[in-house]
Amino acid sequence: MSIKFRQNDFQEVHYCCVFVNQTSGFEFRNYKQVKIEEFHGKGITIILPTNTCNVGHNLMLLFFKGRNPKVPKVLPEQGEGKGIHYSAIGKVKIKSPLEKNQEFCTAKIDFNQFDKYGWQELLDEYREKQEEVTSTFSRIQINEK
Amino acid sequence: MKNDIVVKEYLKDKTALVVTESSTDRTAWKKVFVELGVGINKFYSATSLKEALEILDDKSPEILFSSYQMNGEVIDSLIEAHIVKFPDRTGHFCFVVSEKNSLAVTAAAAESDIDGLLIKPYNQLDLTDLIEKTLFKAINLSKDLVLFNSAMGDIRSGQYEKAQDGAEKYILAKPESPNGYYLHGLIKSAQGELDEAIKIWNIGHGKERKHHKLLCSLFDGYIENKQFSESYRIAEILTDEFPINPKRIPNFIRASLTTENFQNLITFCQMIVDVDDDLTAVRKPIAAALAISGKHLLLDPNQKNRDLIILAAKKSIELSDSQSKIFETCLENLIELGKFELVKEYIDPIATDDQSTELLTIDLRVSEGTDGPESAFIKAQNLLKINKFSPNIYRVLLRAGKKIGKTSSQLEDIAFDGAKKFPELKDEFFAVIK
Repeated sequence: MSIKFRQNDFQEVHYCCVFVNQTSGFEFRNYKQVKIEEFHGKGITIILPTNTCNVGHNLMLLFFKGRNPKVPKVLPEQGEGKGIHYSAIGKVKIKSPLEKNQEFCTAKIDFNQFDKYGWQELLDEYREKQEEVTSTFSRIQINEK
Repeated sequence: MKNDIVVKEYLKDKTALVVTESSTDRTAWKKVFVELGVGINKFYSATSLKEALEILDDKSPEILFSSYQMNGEVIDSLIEAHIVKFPDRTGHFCFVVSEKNSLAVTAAAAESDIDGLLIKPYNQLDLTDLIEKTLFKAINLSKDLVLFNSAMGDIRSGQYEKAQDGAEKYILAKPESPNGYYLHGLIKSAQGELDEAIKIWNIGHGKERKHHKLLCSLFDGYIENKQFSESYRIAEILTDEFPINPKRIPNFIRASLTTENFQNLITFCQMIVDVDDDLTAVRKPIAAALAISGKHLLLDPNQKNRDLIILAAKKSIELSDSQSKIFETCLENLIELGKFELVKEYIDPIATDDQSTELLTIDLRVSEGTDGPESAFIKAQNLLKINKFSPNIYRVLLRAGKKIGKTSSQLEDIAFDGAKKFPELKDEFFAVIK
């Protein structure tokens, strides 16, 4: 036997997000400046640069898997293409600047055009990861048989 | 009674501290806890570790709910402070929310004796459900686990006699459980009787071979005792059964080295250089293990793993702080492989005034490799003039001096001066000039 160093122990579920502001026509490709904060049944809360959208704007969000995705130079209008795991269109419902850095804000986006099965699959992936984390956590904690 | 009612009843008098830099999280977490039963006026919130520690000290909130990483660092000190404040964990809870969701991060978090690890991003319904389930389990501990927690609390607060009493009661109540032996061993270890602790942990290990805390205690105990074969044997079981806690990796490498299981070093480096995920939460131990592994793999005269050592050094440098010992070790590994230009790329951005003697010495060795012996000799002399001394400066002086034709007496003067500064290297210095 040997000491097991498994890559699986270091793997994460992670999605990066970029978007096209369909109201202003502005494309935002820098996924490092977009952070997913919270999922909702039919939407999402993200942190993004304050000057990229406003309440009422329609955003097309494109999700890429992994931490270092290859984002195409021009974002496809249809939201489909190489490396794009999922896309959805939604309206910015709430926008509020971050307390510590006003150049960024949180935006709550309600989806109005989206594949609900695909969205559910993405949510399930995180849910399954949480289950894996919770069950590993329980195995490590002190238990009684 | 239904879970939610039990939890609500339990939480109604509790206070909670919510620690996060994110206002979205703060709002969501408060909402969840209010739904679960914490009174709206029983919340404290902090946006920095410092503020959280002050509130913890002043207000003693029973529930701590915090981001697991703040400013890129894990909040170990806050968890530790909560545990010290409430050594008996029955009735006191600590949950963390992590943006990193690997099993390695899970293993590290679970070992810090928190009650739950939640991953972000989440959705609020799932979050509420998960916290409620975890709290319900924690509230309804069996009387034996309450006894266990109480003894753990006594150990944490240094009341070993009381803890011993608790451990004995536990063993009496649950003779087939390894938990009591784990406690008993911890007491002995805390009292400085590590050999005795290991004996007791082994009794527990005999009762259950896959008890995580016993395996960790045995591994760490054997390492401390320098019983490397035994530590290696335990590491095999531990890593076969559980994900790796990255903090233990440098000692896994150490155990592999001392037991001559060198293949593990290669496997580790190959595995980690391919990891594309974010390792910042676990970066220091991984960087250290890569540097040690690379240094050892260099000893192979055939240099079969040359490419792997380079990749390992690059990854380690990416994860370590410049000017750290790890950073320097990796640069030295690269120099040994003649990768002078690459080393230059790493050193050049660091202003000379900010460079430690070790880094200046590494820069000198790069100069020896790229500019030739004459230039290296002058550079080495200049370092001595500004009172920078290291064995490698003398090594370069002697090597370069010999190549550019310095006389025997000049070389002897250098060796003599070096031996004065580093007496343990006297023979090595004089051997160069023979």
